[in-house]
Amino acid sequence: MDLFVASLLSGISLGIVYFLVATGLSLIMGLMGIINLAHGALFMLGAYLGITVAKSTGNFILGIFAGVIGAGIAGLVIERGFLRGLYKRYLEQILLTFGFIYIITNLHLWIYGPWAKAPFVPELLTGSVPIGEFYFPIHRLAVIIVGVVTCLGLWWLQEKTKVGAIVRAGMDDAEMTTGLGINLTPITIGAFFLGSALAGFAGVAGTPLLGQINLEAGLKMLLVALAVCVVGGVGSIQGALVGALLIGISTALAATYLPVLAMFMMYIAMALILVLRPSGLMGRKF
Amino acid sequence: MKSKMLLVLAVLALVASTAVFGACKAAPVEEEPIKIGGLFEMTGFLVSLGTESYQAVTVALEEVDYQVAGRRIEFIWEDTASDVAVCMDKLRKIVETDKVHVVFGTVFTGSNYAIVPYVDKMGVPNINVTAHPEDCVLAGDWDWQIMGTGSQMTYAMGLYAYEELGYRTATTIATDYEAGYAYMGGFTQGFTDSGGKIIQQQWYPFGTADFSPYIIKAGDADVLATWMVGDALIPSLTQFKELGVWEKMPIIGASCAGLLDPRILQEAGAAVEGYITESHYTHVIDAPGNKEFVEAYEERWDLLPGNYAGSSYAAMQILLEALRISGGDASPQALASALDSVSIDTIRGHISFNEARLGQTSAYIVRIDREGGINIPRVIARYSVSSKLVGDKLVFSSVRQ
Repeated sequence: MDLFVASLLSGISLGIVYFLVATGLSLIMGLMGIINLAHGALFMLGAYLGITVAKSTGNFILGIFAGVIGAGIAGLVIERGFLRGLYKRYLEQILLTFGFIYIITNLHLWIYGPWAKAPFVPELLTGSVPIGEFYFPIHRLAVIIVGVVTCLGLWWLQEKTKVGAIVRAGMDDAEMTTGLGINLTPITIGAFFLGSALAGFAGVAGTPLLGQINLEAGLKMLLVALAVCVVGGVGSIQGALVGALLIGISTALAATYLPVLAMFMMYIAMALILVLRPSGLMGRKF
Repeated sequence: MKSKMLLVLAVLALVASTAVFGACKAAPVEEEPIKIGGLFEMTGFLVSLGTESYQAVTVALEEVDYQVAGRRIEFIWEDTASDVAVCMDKLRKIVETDKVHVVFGTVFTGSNYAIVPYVDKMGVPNINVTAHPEDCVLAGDWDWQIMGTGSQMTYAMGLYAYEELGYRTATTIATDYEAGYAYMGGFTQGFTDSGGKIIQQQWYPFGTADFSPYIIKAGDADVLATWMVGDALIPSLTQFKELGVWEKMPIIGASCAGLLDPRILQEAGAAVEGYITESHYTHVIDAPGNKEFVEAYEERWDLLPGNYAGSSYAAMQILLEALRISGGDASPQALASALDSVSIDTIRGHISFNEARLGQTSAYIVRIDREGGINIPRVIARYSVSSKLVGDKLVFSSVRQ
């Protein structure tokens, strides 16, 4: 029983990290119709930057701040500088943002070298709590709490604020929304920044769970984010959470009980959803 | 009119003489250089290992000024991106287009399985800097494994765990592929040959970042023996510490893979304190020429050399010695017999080859100490490791030095 509980908690914490990465991508895809394949690279950027700052200052909060702002700004540069003119031109978006993966990865190779970076875990969050026979790291519990709070915050933003209403309207019908006299541009810029910043945050906070950050992370986390969007549905925060938790928990449970399947769970989930419910579990039509 | 004619003649004469002199200068044809082809994982998940290897080879070649036995050396190297298909493309390029005399490198076992039959077919010597599994290595004739097979090296660790550390039961976690089976296999063989018992073996797939399921399921034994490669090193060791494994039982490594790469060793932080493992090389080894190599490497690359750097330099020492023995003759048969006859003290100890072209050498048992926040490797034992082909099986023997 303890084994199951420990695995479940591992899966939930992993799922929360996946949620934090994917929700930004989902938001951007849903609201702006933009496929930003460099989203995973922003996770990597936030992680490298945040960990470097945290390690040199000894301050985790500063590190998170650096990672969040760094990723947010990078996202903005990509959007304002390059993606702006490519609304609804999906092929060009894919080519452009895929190119950005290589650019960002190579920049990191220049700056940080080819070696992986170990995560930074603040003093407060080191150590583990016993769960029956097993130990569960405190920083994983912290990630779960932070993830839930973020999810609630985003949900409140989406459902209970005017900005959120505009975002939802823009996702459903951008032309109509602009037609009603609402200026979508600052909202979409804000959403792009927020989505990218969330990826950066996931990078700093999530790296302790993933063990380390390396140059492969850009593509790896992109795959994860896309899988979550497929499973949970695009444009929905609840969907991103459900999809992410499903993938995280199934991966963790498979790793415990059926290790040979563990790496495939993400793809099995994706395949099942595409067959049974192509728009995702809670997706808006994309 | 006359002066114009004179001018034209003068110009023509000048041009003609330049052509003649130019041709004269180019006349002596330069002797064809010895072409050493290198394959390195400069990107992908084995990037730190491949980069180290490349850096060490550069140090070795620069030391001899790219010359041996009176001939120039041309070093042609490619990035395999830690991918078998890319590696094979690059291999074909350096062998068939660049016409290299000898192939050097790749640390990735997966790639090596593909390289061995190819170099056999093409009749080009292949020097391996790390210890690959038996079935890979014995499949072909044109490979010189400077450290024998993976299992040959870790056999000593199995002996040490039983004889010196006093463990009687062990549970293991290793990467689920051929190199994992080989390295862990050597350890379990050494351990069980001594009288120990392996109570459980777990294998994790490539790309695993979360080791908690394996840690949670690890049985109660005297020791946990591990073999992790590449990007699994830091996460696994960190998680072993976090999840309280050290409180239950000590952790040792069948072999250290890339852990003793100085950058990775420091990145791993406090998680590796007290870890004992076999290592093919570490910069603190007391062997002839090692201190000088470490200084030269540090000066050139501003880093201490790790496992793969040391092994690659030792492999270059062997290759250069072979070329000296053959008098600079890099043709396949001459180079092959020269390599077979090499028996020298390298920076990681004495190396010679047995009839299966497997290196007969030493394995080092290393402990990671932590002082003042820095991880320091310490050699605590040395074993001679040798193998003999009996029929089609390899039999190992290992003696504490």
